Amino acid sequence: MEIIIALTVLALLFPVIAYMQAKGTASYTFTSQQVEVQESLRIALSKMSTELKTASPSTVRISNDGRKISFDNSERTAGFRYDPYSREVESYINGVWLPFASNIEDVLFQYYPELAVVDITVKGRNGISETQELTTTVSLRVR
Amino acid sequence: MKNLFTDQRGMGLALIIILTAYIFIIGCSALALSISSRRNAGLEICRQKAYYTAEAGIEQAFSLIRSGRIDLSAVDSAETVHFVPDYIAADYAGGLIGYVKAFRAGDSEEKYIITMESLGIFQQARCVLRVEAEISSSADPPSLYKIRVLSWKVNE
Repeated sequence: MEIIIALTVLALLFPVIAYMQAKGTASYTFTSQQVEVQESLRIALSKMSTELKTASPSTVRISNDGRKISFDNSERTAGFRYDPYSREVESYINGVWLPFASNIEDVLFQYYPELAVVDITVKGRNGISETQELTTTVSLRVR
Repeated sequence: MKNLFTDQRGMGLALIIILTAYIFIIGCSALALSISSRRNAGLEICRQKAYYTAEAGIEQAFSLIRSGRIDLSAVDSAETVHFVPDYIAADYAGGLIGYVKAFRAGDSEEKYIITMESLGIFQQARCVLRVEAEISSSADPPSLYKIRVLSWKVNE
């Protein structure tokens, strides 16, 4: 009799506990992927806005439907582009495109020559995480 | 009378109840922890969006000052210039530029220091950026002024 009661209690509580554990694990995975994407977006936006501030406005060129930007600064020709196959943002350094941020879903550059400002929008996603988006404006310093 | 310490009837049930309660508490703790970290991750992206909204306000104001659309050299040093909503739109990328205001120190028209403050709002997150910059006349057209950032502080 005692064993039957114990097994009944266990059978009733086990699905509840299993559900809670599964929920906790899923939530943990979601959060870690979300944080990973946030870090990628922050790094991407920070690097791009810092370098774009040194761009000479007359040299800014946007191509690939706003997914690629090239510019000259006082030292060299630089640029950024989005690679949809590797889902990375790449930086143009010494004639080579090198990735610096991953888990990126889309990048959009918009240039307003009359104000010499560039709007940058970066979207990111990884696994089960939601699509996250960051936007900022950069005023070009060198004229 | 049976001895309380030697009679083992009911021990299985007690053991199962204790074990189940233990696993239940551990499960609850793990769930609470993951829910709170999920909420923090959501808040963090809001904070980042608020920061970049405030930064956009500062950058747009810099652009207006550099091109001479807003001439702070003619502004009295005690006066505060508000950029939102007359020069900068309040709505920005799903968030809000609460205000961008600037006031200058020094009387020289060629070179002076400005303190600029911008408030970025995204949902429940707010971020205030306080920037000090030196404005000087530019010899290279089309810019009328050169801007050199002296300090960049964040208050959340």
